[in-house]
Amino acid sequence: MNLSLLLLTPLITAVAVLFCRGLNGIRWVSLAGTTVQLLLSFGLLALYWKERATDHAHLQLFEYRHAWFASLNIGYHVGVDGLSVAMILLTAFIMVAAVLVSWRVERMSKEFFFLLLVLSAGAYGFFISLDLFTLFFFLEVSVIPKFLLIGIWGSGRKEYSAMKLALMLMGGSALVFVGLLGLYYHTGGVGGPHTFDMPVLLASGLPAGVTRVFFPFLFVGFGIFTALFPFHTWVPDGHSSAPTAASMFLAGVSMKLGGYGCLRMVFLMPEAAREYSPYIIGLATIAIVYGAFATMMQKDLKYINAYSSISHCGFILLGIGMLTETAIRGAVLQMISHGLMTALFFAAIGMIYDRTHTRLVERLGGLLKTMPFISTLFVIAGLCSLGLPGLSGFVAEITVFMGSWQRTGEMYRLATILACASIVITAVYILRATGQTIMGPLREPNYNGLTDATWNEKLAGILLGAGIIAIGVAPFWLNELIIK
Amino acid sequence: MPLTHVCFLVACLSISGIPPFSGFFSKEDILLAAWQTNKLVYGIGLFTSGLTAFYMFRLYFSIFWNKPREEHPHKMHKLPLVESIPLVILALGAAFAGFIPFSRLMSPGSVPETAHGIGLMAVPPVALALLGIGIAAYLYGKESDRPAKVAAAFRGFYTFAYHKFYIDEVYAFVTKKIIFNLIGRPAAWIDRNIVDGLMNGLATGTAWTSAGIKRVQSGKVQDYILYFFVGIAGLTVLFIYIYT
Amino acid sequence: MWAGIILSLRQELIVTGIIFFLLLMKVGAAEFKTEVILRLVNLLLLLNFILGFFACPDAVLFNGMFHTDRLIVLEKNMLNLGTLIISLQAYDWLKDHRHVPEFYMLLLATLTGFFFMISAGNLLMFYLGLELSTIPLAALSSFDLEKRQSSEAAMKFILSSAFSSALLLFGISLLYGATGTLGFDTIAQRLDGSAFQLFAFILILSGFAFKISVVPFHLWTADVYEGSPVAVTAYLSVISKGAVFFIFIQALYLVFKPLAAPWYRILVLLSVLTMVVGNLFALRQDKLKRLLAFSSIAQSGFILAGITGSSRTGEASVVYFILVYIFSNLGAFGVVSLISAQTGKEDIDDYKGLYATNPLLSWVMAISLFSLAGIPPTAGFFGKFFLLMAGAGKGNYVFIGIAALNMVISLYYYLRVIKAIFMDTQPEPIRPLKIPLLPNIAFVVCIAGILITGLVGWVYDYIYSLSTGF
Repeated sequence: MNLSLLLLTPLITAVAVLFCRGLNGIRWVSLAGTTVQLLLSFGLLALYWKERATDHAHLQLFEYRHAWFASLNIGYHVGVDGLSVAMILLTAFIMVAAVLVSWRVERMSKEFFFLLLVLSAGAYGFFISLDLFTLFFFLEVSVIPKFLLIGIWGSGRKEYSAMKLALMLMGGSALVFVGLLGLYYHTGGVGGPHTFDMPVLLASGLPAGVTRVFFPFLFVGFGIFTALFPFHTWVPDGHSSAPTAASMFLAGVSMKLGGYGCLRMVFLMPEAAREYSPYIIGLATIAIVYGAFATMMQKDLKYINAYSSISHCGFILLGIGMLTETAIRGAVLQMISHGLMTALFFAAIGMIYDRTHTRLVERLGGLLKTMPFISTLFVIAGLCSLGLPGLSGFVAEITVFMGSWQRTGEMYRLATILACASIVITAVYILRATGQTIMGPLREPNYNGLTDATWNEKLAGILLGAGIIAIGVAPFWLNELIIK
Repeated sequence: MPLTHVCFLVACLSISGIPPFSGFFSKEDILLAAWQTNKLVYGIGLFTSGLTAFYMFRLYFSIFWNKPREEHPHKMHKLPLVESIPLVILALGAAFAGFIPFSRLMSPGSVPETAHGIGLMAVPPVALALLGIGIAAYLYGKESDRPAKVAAAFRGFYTFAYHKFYIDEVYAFVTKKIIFNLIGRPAAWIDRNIVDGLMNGLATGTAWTSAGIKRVQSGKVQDYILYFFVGIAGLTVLFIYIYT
Repeated sequence: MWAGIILSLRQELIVTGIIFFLLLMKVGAAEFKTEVILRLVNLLLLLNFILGFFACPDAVLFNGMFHTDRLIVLEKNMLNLGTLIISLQAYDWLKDHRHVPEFYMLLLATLTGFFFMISAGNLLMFYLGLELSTIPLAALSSFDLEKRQSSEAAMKFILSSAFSSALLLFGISLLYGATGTLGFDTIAQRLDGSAFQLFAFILILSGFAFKISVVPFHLWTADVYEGSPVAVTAYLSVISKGAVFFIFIQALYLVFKPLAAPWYRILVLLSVLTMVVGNLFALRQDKLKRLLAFSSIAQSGFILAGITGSSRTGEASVVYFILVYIFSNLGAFGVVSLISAQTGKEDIDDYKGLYATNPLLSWVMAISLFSLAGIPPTAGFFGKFFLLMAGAGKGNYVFIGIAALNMVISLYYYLRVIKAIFMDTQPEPIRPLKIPLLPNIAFVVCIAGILITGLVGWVYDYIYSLSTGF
């Protein structure tokens, strides 16, 4: 399967959008494009399974390399393994849902969908890249669409949030940049060719002194994208000020770019990862616990979800930091589960906001009476967040815990226990928010006249909810995929 | 409501541990085991089973024995079959389940337990139960102010127990005051002001530095030429210092 | 033999030919309409650019004073392209100007000067080219005849320039005294690092640093860029800088090779200073021209970072970056030029809400700024990446880290402009402007350049194959 198709489809859709006239043309073209991409991802999944059944030798499948800058040994090198396929599926799901949820964006809709599609193209390119240069290229491509999406279509302090997000993420990129250059110049032995190519780097190995110096740069740089404490402060403002589709994509996919990057770096430099693992675990645990406590006090639904994203992404980093196979598998599961869950949550909040024009918990109430479908989506997302068995959140978190427990040693056990305990806090804020907004009396009399979800919103919700429930109830297929 | 009355009575007798109802058998076994293991636990269990008899029969006497309290009671409907059949089945179970030889059916570690007969150990719990029933009958059998007087006599303890020993209040206190106020609020505040403040501080610091050095670009060519000279002089010093 | 010389000097001869043609036009028929002149000149420049693709034979002429090879031919053609774009963009401003032929004569005179400077094989030739390029530029700075600012800019420019040239000449004479020769190839053999030679080198370095706006020799930049007409500012920031960078690399790598260790440290220091100071000042600017001036100072710092690499990658990345820089900077300046000519507005505040009225112009500006900031998929990303990659070759990762962080700072002020254009609103935004044909072509070329030069790997590879890195 030609992986570049995955990259071309969103780009072609984006260009096609530019030529459409009228809101209808724009959004149907976008929907068509993203649906095609979703089908392609399923196709990739099927093909991958087929190939994997026979091919056990190669780490990456469907590889393709084209020299980009031959003089610097930089190539457009793409390939996938189970991890990449899973992430591509996640992105495809969220994109279709995001397009559906944005059905009613009327202001500058052409630019909106164009930027959203370019954003997704960046993510797909990131997940299929095997050459670190190409990886970095796609990582940075997404900075400007994020800035514009938040700054133009957002709400609240949107310009401030957009600027903060852009600068902090660029800071992360700068760190990754330095790390990449360090790796490049220390490959190839003495006088040999330098390379950015990941499989080559994996095969040839890197000297220990080099990895010890550059691993922190790379890990922290990617970590900033995944809300590594203390560089997580772009998340609350950024996600909350963004328009719904952008929030869904930001929290659902963009934060996972960092996690994916961190994971690849760990695979590339295992000894360095082992050395730094206590620090990673420490920071991750702080993020989990502290993020949960900070969420408790939030009054705005979007801020609740944003802070809880910090806490949940802490699980990802915890799993990666623990470095056991189960823990890393848990981290990947958490990436996917949290992606779907937070996208659903943001979608539901967006739908509520569109109708009630408020996101403050204290001003909402009794929505179950007038908007049962949206409320159900809200509840599913909330329950997944607190790790109810039967939904994907439980599967992910339990795997991380089991993997973390495998590492004996007081510090690791302590970290695991603290992380477990924070689930209680998660339950507190989720149940409070859910209870107050959905149940109880109608807070404002005019809530009586609110409409429930329209077809596009229903479809988006069903798509994401199905994903969450599917993983929650039958996670084995995903498990298998990741292991391979 | 005769059927309900009978079933309720059967249930109360069973829970109080009066033979030959099923509750007796289970209580007797457990108390026997407790006597063999830990006398303190046995004592508490004994006392509690007496209390159980008391409060169950308090309920029974209050509901079924006295005149209805309300002036205009609700019309009492006949119990539908759907409700009466399960009631009877459960009552039969409560009455006779004690005769099922469970010990032969359950066996920890796949070795069948040996049953033991009913011995002298059965007497204290039953006696206490009867005592409890008697006290309940005395206090609640007829309309009177005896319960109120007893409550008044034990006023402090009564209020304490009435409020469920204030355990709920403790929970609420811990959650609201400690977790929310002492941990949650500071966490949110720290994040907003200190951690984020650090990031914003970086930005402000840069702007401040920028403001600090702006004077150099003065607009006067003489100053420019001066800095030119200074630059050359500085470089010369630096260069010579490094190179030699 | 003559044919060989003429072919090797072809680019200089063509440009000089155009100058004489303009002179004849001016003297002969005073009745040509301005638009006709403009179209004609642009056509000639286009021809010049196309001819530049045909390679001149490599040669060393005039006793080693002039040499050319394929890289130098490429560099000259890049400057041709830049001049063509600037000329296209200046159409709006020039068509109402009284002295169009003079403008072009002066402009092309400076271009000739740059050509000779780049091809120099001898310090004297280098100085000749430098002066030939500087003095007409000072005159060009004052070409906004009605504005006082323009005269002020020209005055500051000529004074600072004269001073720096004096010091440069002093340095050259000291170097001659120390080594006894002026030829590039022979000087290197006679350098042995005595303090006297070092001092000469510093003086010569300061002359270069003046032209490429390196801190602390950059102070003239903001005032001159702000006061000059936009076309001249664009020319100064892109062509002048680019040309001097080309010859700077040659001087460092070839002539001063024995002094490589100390000049590496000096360059790192100057690079950091330049990037930081340029960025810090750019943060505060409210006028677009001044902002772009400081941003170009910061870009100079980046290019210095690439030069410190002192290898084939270093040289190739600098040449490549200057090509990208031509497209990006001229794209931004083109928009400024158009808006300034038609509405006279040059403040960032005036640009608020531009997207609503002039979407195409806004996108041109946005893409150019993204390229300047170094964001993919524009070519600026690749340019900066390769520059820092070259610099990292020496293993000084602290330096590279500082450079990368400076990219973050610079992103802020570029995004500020984007924010004003796309997100802010104001009661009186700039009205929808009609873009004449020639500037339109210039915009298309710039945007195409920005988007293609990066994604197509062949461009960089070609430049790399031409560079030798010494």
